[in-house]
Amino acid sequence: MKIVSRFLLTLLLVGFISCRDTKAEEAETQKVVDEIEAVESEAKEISEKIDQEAEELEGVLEELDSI
Amino acid sequence: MKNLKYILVSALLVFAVSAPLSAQDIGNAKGKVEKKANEVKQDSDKAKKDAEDRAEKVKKHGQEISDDAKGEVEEKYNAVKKQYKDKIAKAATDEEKKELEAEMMDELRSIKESANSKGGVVKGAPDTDGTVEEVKKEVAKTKEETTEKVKEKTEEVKMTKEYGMSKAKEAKDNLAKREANLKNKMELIDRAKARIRAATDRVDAAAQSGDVSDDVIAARRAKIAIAQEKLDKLEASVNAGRTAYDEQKATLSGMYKEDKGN
Repeated sequence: MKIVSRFLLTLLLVGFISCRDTKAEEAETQKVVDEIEAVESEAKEISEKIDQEAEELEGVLEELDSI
Repeated sequence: MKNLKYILVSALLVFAVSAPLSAQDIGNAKGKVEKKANEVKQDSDKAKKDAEDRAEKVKKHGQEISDDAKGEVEEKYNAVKKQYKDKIAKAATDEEKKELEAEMMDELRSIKESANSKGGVVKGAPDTDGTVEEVKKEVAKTKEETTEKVKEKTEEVKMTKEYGMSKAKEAKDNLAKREANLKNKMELIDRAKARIRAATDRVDAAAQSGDVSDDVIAARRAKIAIAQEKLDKLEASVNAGRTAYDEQKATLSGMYKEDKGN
């Protein structure tokens, strides 16, 4: 009986610890995903700005070629 | 007695572990809900704008049809007038002329009455109000479907380490593509410099030969100055972008680095 109860308690402890690990992992992942999304958004913004400026330059250069 | 001790200790442990976890869950859930609410709001704003645009188009189309109908009535009116004018001119007697005039007036009156009774709307023209309602319903349905999809997606995504790693890998791949794009822009800058130089040489040569007036030369130089300005702007943006991408690359590489060592 004593062994069984100790075993059950150990099981309970292991269960709680693993549960806590999962939650910590989820929180950590959420943080990382947020960070990645921020990076991607910034990169997209930069890329769009550069594309637009390059397009403008192309337009002006075409005019220059004709002079 | 010993067993009771174990139970008490485990109960205490349960309490100690579950209390902070609940608080954490609430915090995470709140963040997720706020994020998804923003997404849904953006979707709904977009759907609303689409509905307005479509309704506007339908109304415009209806107006065009109405204008066409008006033109049609006028055309008919003028055609009858012309037809009777010829007949009246050819009439032999005054009585015949009067008769034809009366007939013409009757016909013109009937055309006018017919147009008025339709209230400016010609048979066969679509019911624009009805169409607008249909478009609105359709958009509302799409909006509902989008909300459902977002909801499903939120429920589906589990914040596991694998998910985070796949996201990081995806971001790294995207960054690599952007870096390649940046390289293309640097090549464009080199080509642009050469084209500007060539244009400057051509203008200098034209100015020296005196074939072209001073005004034209000035205008060409102004164009070159604008191109140079745009080139400098792009070059500055590309350099800033390269620095930003390097920083982002370092940030992304730092993610899950500890796991790689294991």
